Amino acid sequence: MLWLTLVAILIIPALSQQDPVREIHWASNPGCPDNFTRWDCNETQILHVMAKGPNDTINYLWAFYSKPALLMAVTEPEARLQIDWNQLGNSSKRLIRFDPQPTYSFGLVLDRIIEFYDPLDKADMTQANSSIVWDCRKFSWTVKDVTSGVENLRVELLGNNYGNGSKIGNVSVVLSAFGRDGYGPLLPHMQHSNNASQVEITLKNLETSEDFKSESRFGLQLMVVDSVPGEGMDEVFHRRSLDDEHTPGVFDINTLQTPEVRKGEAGGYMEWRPVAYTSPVRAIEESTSAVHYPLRNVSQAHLKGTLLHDFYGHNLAHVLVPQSLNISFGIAEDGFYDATKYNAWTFTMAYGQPPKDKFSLLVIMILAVGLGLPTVIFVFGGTYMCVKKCRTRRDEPLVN
Amino acid sequence: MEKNYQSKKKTDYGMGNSSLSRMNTRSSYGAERKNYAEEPLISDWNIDFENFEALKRVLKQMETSKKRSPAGRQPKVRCPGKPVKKRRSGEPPKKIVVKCGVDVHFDYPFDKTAVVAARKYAHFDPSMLSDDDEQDQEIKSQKSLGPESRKTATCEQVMEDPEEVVTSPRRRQDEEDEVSCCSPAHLCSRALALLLMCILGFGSYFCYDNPAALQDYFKHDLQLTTTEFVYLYSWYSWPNVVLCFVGGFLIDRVFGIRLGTVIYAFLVVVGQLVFALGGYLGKFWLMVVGRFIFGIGGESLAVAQNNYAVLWFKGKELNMVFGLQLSFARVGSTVNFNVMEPLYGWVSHYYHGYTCLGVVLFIAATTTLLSLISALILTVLDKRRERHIGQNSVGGTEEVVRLSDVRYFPVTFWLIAGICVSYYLAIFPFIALGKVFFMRKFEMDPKDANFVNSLVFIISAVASPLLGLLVDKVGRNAFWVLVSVVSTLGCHALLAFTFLNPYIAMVGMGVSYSMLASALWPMVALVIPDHQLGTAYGIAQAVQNLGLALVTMLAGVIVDKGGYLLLEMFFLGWLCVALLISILILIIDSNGDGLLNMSASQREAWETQRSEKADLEREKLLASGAMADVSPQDQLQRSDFHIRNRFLSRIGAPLPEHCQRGRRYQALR
Repeated sequence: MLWLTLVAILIIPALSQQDPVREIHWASNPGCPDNFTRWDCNETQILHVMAKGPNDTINYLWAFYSKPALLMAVTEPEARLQIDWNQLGNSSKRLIRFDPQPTYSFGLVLDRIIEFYDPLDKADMTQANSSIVWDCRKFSWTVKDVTSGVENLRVELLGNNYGNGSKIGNVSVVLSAFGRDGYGPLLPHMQHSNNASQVEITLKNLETSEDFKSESRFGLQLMVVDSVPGEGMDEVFHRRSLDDEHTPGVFDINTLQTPEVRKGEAGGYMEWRPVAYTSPVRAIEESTSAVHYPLRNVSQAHLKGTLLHDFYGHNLAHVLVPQSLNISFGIAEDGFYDATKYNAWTFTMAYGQPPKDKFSLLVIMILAVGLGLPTVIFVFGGTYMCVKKCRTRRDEPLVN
Repeated sequence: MEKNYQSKKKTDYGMGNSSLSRMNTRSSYGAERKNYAEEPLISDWNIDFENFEALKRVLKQMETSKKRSPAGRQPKVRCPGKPVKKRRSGEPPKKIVVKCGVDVHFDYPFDKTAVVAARKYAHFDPSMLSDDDEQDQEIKSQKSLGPESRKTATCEQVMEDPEEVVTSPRRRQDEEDEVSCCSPAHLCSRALALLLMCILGFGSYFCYDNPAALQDYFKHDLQLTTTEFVYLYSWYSWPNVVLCFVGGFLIDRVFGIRLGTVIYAFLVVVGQLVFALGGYLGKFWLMVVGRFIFGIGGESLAVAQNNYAVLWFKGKELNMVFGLQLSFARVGSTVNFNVMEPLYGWVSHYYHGYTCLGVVLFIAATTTLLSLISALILTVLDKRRERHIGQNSVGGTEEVVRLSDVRYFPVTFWLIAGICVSYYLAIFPFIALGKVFFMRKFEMDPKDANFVNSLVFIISAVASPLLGLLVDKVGRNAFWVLVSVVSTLGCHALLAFTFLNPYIAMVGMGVSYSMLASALWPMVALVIPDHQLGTAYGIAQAVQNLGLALVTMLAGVIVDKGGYLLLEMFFLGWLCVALLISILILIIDSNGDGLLNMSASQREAWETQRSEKADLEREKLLASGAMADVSPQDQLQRSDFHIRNRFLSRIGAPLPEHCQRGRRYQALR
């Protein structure tokens, strides 16, 4: 009985703690005028994804002009999006608005890819002898595929033809939005809430610089900003989880928190496991480290021409605090990037509070049955033995 | 009856059987017994004779040896001629080789030999001998016996009982008073035997991990992939899923312990030499063949080692001996890991590439040679011991072991085998994957991770004999098994659900592992008769090998798919199974005879009580002589009891409670 109650205590919350499901809607190039000449309106430049809940809508704006940029805005359910298409990327005004104003927004730009020379095999970007910057603006970005369901959406984006063919290699970005709690479909199977999107960045077959003698590693520079004035993000928060069930062999989780999240309120955050994969067949032995470096404040100039600039306008320069986050891939003695020519890294970008770890039903069942059954047998067997002994003791005088 | 020498039970068994053929002489026999009981009975031997001439020879020998021996000492008598052969089932009865167990009772002083001999003639009716074997079979199965014949069988057994009950410790004590240092019963001789037993396993454990210690060189010198490298282990372990069962059985049935051990030790040497030759010639297939031969020998040698331990040390030190053997095995692999690489470095000054590897492996083969030598010396020692004690070796020629006997193994044995599998599954595959686990979960560097991982083995090398000693002193094997399963469960849970420094959990695991190993393996000897021990240990080891082979593969898949938490859950699951089984053992055991969970003091107390009772009863029985007042019901009970008792007394273990009661009742009557 004790065990049954314990099982009930453990399982029932696990089942009942499901957050409400958000419905996912999306639109490509919303409001793109028919006579628009700058781009073909059939080719997705901005994808507007709405995760509609009962009380609010989480809007994801994924823009692929200039540098790929992702914006997450929390609005009232019926908020409308307005985009001034003609000036996109060319003005310092606010060209993208929600009506009414979002209560919270959080943005991210894939700014650069950094190739660094690592002759000492330290796998540390800060100790690199020299480095080359691949500006993400110079890739040509195209949406390859959009798959959508009621509760999720998956967009495949490919950046290639760097600098009009001056460098070989491509960067693929897979963006997903989720309307339900769960785990990502591929390793590292990041846990996500119903308020979350996920980004997978893969650096494929990038041509390493000849000067670096095949001892190059790659890293990313991301720009992040949120709508709360003046504070900026906290440092990356590192915690360890007991549960590596979904990401075999990785016990760490890194979170980039906005101050709201730290205070326990709803806010934007990024979460990732410090692991990158070196092969499309993702497995524990095909994994390497994803190392992160301290945040740095950056000037808004980096964000010029991006979605974030078009959304935040002047605020970006005066009120908000854009910051950059660097990540590099690889560990010592892994043969550098050229060994596999493949680095894939995944993070979630979400609103609310980071999901708590919970043990899977399987784990709980094993514990409950594995410990419960011996206990039951011990108790019953023990009782039986006691009863039997008492009986024989009682019988003995009768025999005599 | 101060001095109560007797030849061991196996001969008795033959005795009991052949008594069937003497049904018609029973009454007179009983009467004679009575007469003898009135006189001071100095010695009481059961001897097998090839034929009547041999009997005469023996009697003569007795006289002569008596004259030579100093007054007050018992003349030592051995069975002349070949040991009595047993007919295998299915074969036509052989007329020439017959078994004729004969009781030789004679008095001191020795002049009544003629009377003794005359009495024997009465039993010696050659016409009865031809169908002797068939009746043998009958009594063995204990099923087809009619009440009449059972009665006959037990008549004698009842008389034998008191004699048999006198157990080895007591006799040993008697002997120690008079034996010299070189006598097999003396401590130093047994210590030597123990050392040899340990060395017996040293070679195979040393060489088993040669490939692992030289993994990089193997891969480099022979251009092996990891998959190919793993063949060196899989060709060792997979055949052993079946072979060590067969090996154990062969010890019991065909070779006997001494020859079997030598053969297996020889196979180990041959295997290692072939392995080394393959390396020397750079022929990988030859190396795999070598590993295969090595595996056949190695695992069966472990079974033989267990058998020897039981044979020599059953009684009080068995748990410690098992612990010591385990620790020596660990020492073997540890030495291997520390020595092989420097050795390779040294040899590489003179040889290069796979030739160097071959030479290194040849050098490693000397350890197996050492094991072979110790097997040979052990053979000599064991012969002497047997001569001295008069005990046949395990799997002697007397009791036929059949594979089908496995069906009659008690349920507790299967439960013990179950723990052998389920517990070890939570240790060995874990250690195989442990290094990376510690690096990833506890962020240790590779060197530290390796050390923590090997803690279990390092600790078990030290703790096993000590804990074995503890179990010897305290008794209660089943309880200790339960304790170590629970504490291992705790240690695994610490690793799974906390970030606590893994040193704590691994030290705990090392101690529990040693405890389990020294408490669990001797339990097999408590529930299985000596002559089937080889088979029993073989089965336990085979099942364990099967489990390990399967689970090591499975564990890798689990890590890849479900991570280390699930792996830990998997191990915890197996430990829960082990926990369940150990609880079942406790319950079943205390429900039955309480044999596995008796404390040492209980055992001792019971021992004294039992021998007192036995003496009392013996006198009573001898005095009453005739069996008229024994009801068939009693006989039936006693027959079962006799078999149980025969086997319990062999292992020096206490009798089951209900038997005690039965016995008390009988004595009071």
